[in-house]
Amino acid sequence: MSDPMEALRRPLVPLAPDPAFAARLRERIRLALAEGGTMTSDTETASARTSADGDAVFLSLQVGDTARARRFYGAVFGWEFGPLEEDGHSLQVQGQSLPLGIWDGPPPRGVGRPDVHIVYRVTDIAAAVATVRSLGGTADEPQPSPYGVVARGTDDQGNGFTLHEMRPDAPRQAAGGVRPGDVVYITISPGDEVRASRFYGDLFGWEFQPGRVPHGLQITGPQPMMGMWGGTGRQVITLNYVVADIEAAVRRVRDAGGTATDPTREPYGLSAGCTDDQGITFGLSQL
Amino acid sequence: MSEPSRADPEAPDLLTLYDQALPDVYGYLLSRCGNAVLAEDLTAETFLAAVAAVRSRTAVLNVAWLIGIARHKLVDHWRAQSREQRQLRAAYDTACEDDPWDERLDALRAQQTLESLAPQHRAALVLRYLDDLSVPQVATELGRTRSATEMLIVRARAAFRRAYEERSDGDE
Repeated sequence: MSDPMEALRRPLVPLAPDPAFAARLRERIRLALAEGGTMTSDTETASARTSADGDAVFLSLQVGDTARARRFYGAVFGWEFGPLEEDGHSLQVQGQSLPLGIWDGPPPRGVGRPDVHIVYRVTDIAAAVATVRSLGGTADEPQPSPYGVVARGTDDQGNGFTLHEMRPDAPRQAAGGVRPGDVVYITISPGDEVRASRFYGDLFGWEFQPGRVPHGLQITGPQPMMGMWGGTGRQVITLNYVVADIEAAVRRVRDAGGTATDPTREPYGLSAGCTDDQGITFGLSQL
Repeated sequence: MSEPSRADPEAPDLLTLYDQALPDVYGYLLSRCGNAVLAEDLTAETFLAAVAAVRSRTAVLNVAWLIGIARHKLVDHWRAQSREQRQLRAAYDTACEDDPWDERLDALRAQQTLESLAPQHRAALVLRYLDDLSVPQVATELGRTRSATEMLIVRARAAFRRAYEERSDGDE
C-alpha cells in the first residue's frame, strides 16, 4: 500500500513574480554586487539620478479635521476641492501647479500633526532607498500605488518623507508659471540643518549656501525653491503661498481663525508669517 | 568615493542567473508558503544571500543551488514563526500515532490542511513530502538529529491527518 502523503509531492513549477518586484529586486542585486551589499557609493547613485531628484511632487497638509481645513483654506485662498476620497481622510486641492492634498488620517512615520508631508521625486527608487539606509535613515521597501512606485522613509534625524519614482523624462513643475495660491517656496526645519544638508545632499544631489539668517541654508536643485532653517529644533515644514494682495490675504487669515504677522518687506517682495486654525504654519508672499 | 569593483568576474553571472532562475525560485517559494507577499520577501532574501555567497566565492551558480538557499530561507521563516507563536510546546504535546492511512488525498484540501499546521510540522512535511527529501536531508535542513527528525515527521503526519479529517468532516 502506498503512503497517501506521497500525493503531496510537488515538482518545481516556475512562476514569474510581479514584473515591478522583479525589476526592483534586480536593481538591489546589481547594487549589492557592485558595492558590497551594505553601502552605496556616490558614483553608483549619481548615475541613477537626475537634476529633478528631490523635487517636491506632492504636498500633504496633516490636519486633525479635513472639513475644517477646507473651510479655512477655501476662505483664505478661494481654493476648490475634489470630493472626500474613499478613505474618508483625504481631499485634493483643485488647480494647484504643485499637487496639494489635505489628510486627517494617521500621519506617516516621522511626520507630525499639524505639519506638512513632502513627497520627493526620485529617478531610481531602489537606489534611493539603499542610499537612505546607508545614510542612517530608514526606508520601507518600494510599493506600487495607484500613482506610481513609492517608499516611505525617515532621515537620520527621524524626519518622515515619501519617495516617488518618476521617469527621468517626466516634466518638472513649470518654473515661473505661478498662480495665486501656489506654493512658491518650502522651508524645511529639520532639527539640525547641518546634518540634514549632508543627508539630503547625498540623497538628492542638492547643494547648499548659507542663508540670510543664523541656521539658514539656501538649497540649489529642487523645485519649487527650498531652504532649510535649523532654528526650531524639530521638523516643521512651512509652505509659502504666493498671493496677489498680501494685505487682503492677511485679513482673510485672521478672519478665518488663523494668525498672521503684519507684512514685512523682504528682498523678494512682501511677506507674512501665518498659522492656520489647526496650527499649521505657513507663509504668504506677494512677489 | 569608492569605485565599484567592475572587474569582479562573477557579478554578471549572478544577474544572468537571476534573469533565468527568478521564476523557479519564486515558484518554489510561493507553492510552499502559499502567500505572495511572503514569497516575494523570501525571494529577495534568497538572492541577497546569493550575492553574499558569490562574494565569498564558495558557490557553484545554478538553479539547484538557489533552491537550496530558498529552502533555508523558508525553514528560517517557519522557525521564527514558531518562536513567535510559541507553538513548539503545543505541537510536541500532540498525540503520536502513525498507523497506516489508506486515503487518496484531495490536493486542495491537503494544501489548506498544510497551511493550518504549526510551523515546524509544516516545515517537516514540506521538506519530506513536497520537496521529496530523505529523512537525513530533512534533519540537516532543520538542524536536528535524525531520530528527532523521524519523531517530528511522525507527529507532523499525525497532526496533518487529524486536521485533514476534521476538514473533511466540516465539509460534509
